[in-house]
Amino acid sequence: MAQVAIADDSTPIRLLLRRRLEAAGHQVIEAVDGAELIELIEARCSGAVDLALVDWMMPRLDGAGATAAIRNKWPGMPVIGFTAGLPPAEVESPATPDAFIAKPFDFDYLFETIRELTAGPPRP
Amino acid sequence: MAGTEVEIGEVPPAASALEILNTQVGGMVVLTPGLEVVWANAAARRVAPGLEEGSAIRPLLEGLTEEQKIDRLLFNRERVLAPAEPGGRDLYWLMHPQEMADGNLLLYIWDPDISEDMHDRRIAFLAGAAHELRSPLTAIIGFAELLREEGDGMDTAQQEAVAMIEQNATYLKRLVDDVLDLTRNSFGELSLDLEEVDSGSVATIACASLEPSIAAKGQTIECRVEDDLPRIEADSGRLNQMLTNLIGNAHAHCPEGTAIEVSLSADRQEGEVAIEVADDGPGFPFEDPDEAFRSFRSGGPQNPAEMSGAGIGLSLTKRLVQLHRGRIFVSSGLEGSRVSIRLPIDRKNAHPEYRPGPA
Repeated sequence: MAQVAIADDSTPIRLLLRRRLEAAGHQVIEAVDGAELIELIEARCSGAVDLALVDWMMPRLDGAGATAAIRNKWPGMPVIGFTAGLPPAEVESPATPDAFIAKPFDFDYLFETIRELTAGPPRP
Repeated sequence: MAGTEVEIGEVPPAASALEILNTQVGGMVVLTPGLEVVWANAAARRVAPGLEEGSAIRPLLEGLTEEQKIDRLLFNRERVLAPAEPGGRDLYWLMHPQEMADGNLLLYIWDPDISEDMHDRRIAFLAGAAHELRSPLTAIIGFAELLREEGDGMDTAQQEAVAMIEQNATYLKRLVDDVLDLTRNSFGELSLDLEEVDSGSVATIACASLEPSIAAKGQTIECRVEDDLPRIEADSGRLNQMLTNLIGNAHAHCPEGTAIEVSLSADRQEGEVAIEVADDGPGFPFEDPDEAFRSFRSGGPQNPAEMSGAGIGLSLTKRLVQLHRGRIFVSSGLEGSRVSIRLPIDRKNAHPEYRPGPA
């Protein structure tokens, strides 16, 4: 099972994700925005986080910014972006996550995606 | 006309109606079905000075077949970019045409320099609205699911309450999606992702996904798919959305004990696949079944508690059928209601009675 870092500015969404992920056997650390997520991974768990789940619309550092920062600091870490709005345009850039998941969540699909991203070989 | 009282709702006298249209900021152009300019308001003539003579529409459409013209005017996702004067550098957009009662087309015309910015802001607003509405729904649906799955400690009444929260939040989510789609349609943004689709399996999946909710209300659903149903050129996600809307309407508006029947068959003579959703419920509460398609009109005013947004789902469904170049019929009577969608097997050979129609 994986060590998962989540970033979402909505408290109920973080709680929902935590309960679902922990029920599936994952360990969860949570941040209220992208900036706190980066600090958290850096300070407490650097190297020990298997996957980041980031909401796309967040204050301070948004999903694209957080993804780009993760790509820069921890190139092997898979990132899943959440979007409740229209999906962002598909342009390949450092801020592109490995997968986008739509809100409201389809948890079967989310867990399947987590399995795929954490099982494969690390990103180059 | 002086001294004549005009009742609200009455059509204003023609002369003043034209005056009003001439003061509108947005450009409006009326074209015949043959795409000749009939009339353009002052704003349209400012954007495209050549319009009065009827010459501006032609360079864009020269050499195209009738079908290509309609395609270009009605279905071009990129909107039509036309030169204001033949050979000139100025450009304007013709957007979301509507068919009028006399068969002419009404088009809106924009100066892209102005409307590009407006368009971007509308899309940004939409993205924001979608986010604002879906985020709380994510939490409501997510926690209701959690409660249902962990519901061993709850009694039957509590489980029923949780099921109601989940079903209604899911329904609300679908309404939010539909409203956003209708808004996108009015910006000319709604489009199809076409592929060869097995409509039978899309219908089977749609039925199966709504079955638990239907069974919980004491209703039944049956899905009958004809053998060797030809594949159609369609957007499978949108097809699922249409079916979910129609089945969901029957489910929401009919009482306990209602039998919902979904059937798919080929009409090879007409070159169409017929998709029918029928129920033996009380029927549509409309005198004119076409009323059902009007946006934001639902269940009738006699019982506001029963209002459930069927109008939104149906008018979006109608629009999606039109985008597929199909036809939709509603019939309603003592024996229940029946909605028939007929989609062309080959989209290039739409049925002669297919009308693009207004959104």
